[in-house]
Amino acid sequence: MTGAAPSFPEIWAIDTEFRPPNFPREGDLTQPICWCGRELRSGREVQLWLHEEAAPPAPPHDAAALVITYVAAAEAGVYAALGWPAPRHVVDLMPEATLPENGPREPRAKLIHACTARGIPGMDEARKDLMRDRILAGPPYSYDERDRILAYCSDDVRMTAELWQALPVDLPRALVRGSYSWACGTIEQRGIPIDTATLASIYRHWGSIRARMIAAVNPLYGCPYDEAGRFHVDRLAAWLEEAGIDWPRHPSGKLRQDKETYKDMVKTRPEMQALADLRSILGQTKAFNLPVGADGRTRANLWPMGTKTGRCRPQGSFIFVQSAWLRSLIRPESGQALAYCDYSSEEVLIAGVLSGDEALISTYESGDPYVTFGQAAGLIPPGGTKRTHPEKRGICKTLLLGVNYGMGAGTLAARTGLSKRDAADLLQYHRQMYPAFHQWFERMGLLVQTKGYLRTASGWMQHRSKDLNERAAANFKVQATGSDVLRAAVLLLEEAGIRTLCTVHDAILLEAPAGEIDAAVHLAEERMGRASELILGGHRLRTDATVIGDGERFMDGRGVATWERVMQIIREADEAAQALPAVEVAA
Amino acid sequence: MAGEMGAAVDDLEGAALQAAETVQSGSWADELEAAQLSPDDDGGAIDRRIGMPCPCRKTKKGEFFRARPGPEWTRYYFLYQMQEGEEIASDFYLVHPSVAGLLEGAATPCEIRYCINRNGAPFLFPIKKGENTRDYYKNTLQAALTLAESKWLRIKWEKALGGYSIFVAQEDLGEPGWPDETIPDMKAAIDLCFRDHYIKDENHPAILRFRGIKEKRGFE
Repeated sequence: MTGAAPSFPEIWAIDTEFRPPNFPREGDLTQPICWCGRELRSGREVQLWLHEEAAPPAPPHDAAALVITYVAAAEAGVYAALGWPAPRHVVDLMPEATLPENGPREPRAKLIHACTARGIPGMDEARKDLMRDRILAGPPYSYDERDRILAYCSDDVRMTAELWQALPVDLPRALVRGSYSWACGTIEQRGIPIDTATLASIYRHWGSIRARMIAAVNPLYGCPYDEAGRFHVDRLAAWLEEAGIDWPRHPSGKLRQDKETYKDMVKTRPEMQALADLRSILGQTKAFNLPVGADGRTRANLWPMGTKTGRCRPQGSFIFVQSAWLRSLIRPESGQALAYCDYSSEEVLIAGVLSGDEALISTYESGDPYVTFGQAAGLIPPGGTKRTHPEKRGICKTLLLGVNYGMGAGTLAARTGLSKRDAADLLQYHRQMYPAFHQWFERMGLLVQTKGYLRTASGWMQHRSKDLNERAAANFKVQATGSDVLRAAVLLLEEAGIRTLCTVHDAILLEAPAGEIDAAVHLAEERMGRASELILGGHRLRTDATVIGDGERFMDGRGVATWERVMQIIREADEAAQALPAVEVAA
Repeated sequence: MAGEMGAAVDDLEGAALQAAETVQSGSWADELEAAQLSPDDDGGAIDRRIGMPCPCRKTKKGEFFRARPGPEWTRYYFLYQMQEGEEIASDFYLVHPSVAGLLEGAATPCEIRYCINRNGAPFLFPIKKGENTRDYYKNTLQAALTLAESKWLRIKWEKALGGYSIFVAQEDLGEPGWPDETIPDMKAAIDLCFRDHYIKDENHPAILRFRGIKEKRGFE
């Protein structure tokens, strides 16, 4: 690569149609149906029918062309399936259409919505739905259907071109976002290797797992589940009252039953852990849909830049969105290894850099920022560590992350079990230790009111709305900058040839041959560190890496106990089945 | 339709060519570095404070403070302190000399010093100067205020001794950040402090109450 500034030899608006080959089953590699594009200078149009026809070895556009698309990750999937090289210059109009109204509106996943909002005519939604359903239903496609699918795809190309014309695109930043979106599509196609035999066992024994889990846990909490497995919140309420446990409630007085409430309560009342695990596992009956392809790999849409802070918003079927215990299904293929590399405590350094608070930066650079703060505040003695003082460190972590969104003493007390007075003292100590951060926090709240928006150095912006108020302003800057860092990391990792399988908030999962995993991790950590330096003005985020070797499986600490319980139930069920006498069945 | 699209493409070409001049094509590290924008916050003033509390009070228990040096930051006025438990809050009132006599000695001549605490909150410290005030009380307080011109200190009332003990901070706490933009001079401090606590005639509710006269209301 050179540092020259070329003009693009071609500018193409493109769109593709594709389907899961075994629809309605998801999780397989994308099956391309067609490719349509228009070169915007010459007006040249190309339509390629790809289904059951020999595809050309490369796309019709020049390798150095500027490629304009809407949700580039979708087109990237088709290119990956065809073995086509990725274009070097991509603009994804989805985030570009999002940014001018990010905040008051959610990101728009559909091209038609972005177009109609700007007065660009398009096919009505009902007709689009019919065409999409026909494509998904699969072959055989008649010649008439083939022509209509190509026309449908070409119409999306026209709308993409008109949207490009209508949008004020900030090109240098848009090119970074576009290539990141494309990279996410490529990553999605690689998929995450799954222990399919164990997954099949879980499906097979799901009824037993569910019943055994309820039987073991139910009596401990006043039997909130009835014989049919239905949960009765009033039974839990009665038990909590008897046990003298205060539980957060809705304004209506009803007990809160969301995941966050259970997570918070377990921190102060560890005896609630078993019920929290049970709720989590039973919740899977609704969402336990892990799309696994014929190659034993799970694939889900990451939806890059689908949140207001610019992070990914993956589908519910994404394995890292599901309960922690299910992640133990992730297991490298034979001869391969995986590594989970995440930025450690990134919010602390980002907040320090953005606010220019040297004390906060120094706290991060000291090693474990939560232990360092705990020691300075007198919560943890000198020489104390994460291992010796996990609970105190947890309190400091809750505080250091919570101050970014203006957490008060009441919430800190509720989440840590501290008295409200102690929580207030700790917050006061934080104010004294990091005065520049607190001045900056206040300033961001004022800035969002006077300017009406906030923007990161990479150009991700959010406008004032009920979600971006004075208290949320600083946290937006921290989270959106973290998102900038991960975008940069993904691009540097792809450039370095690292095989990234997915992104998870501030982490990536990568794959390499077992003998090369250490070198791959070393390179990945170097690239991730470099990405943080580029975004944070030379400050480097640390990374932690966990290697999952050949024959091992991914383990998330929060899900280990439940995973082992489920495995035990499966083993016992299998043994019981083997012990049954063989029964002859008359033909 | 074709005509419309032709015009659109012309515009697109213009837009794209213009954009193309700004694009870099190096390694991603180069492009990412080049794509960083200057901060959305230029560091300039977002707003300007035009008012802030500046009460007249003694220091609280354990409160370190500094006094602003210089005669321009000292004033002498009659002050009247409403006793606690009455309807009007037990604040200091500035009393015009022409009506001080109506308060029969309860309005005391005071030296008023401009001070600030560690949280950056300014306040006016009153030191009684009346003939009835004990010398030891006056002297220890005067010594404390003089020392507070150059050092962070706190004072503690010693009931048995009838005066104040003085404690100087052992750490270097730096110089105080006086809010000069909001309080540029003592006149501004007096105005902020006493604009609603100024007894200038005999009909002021504080004087009426002191003399046992029922306050007349609009409907009576």
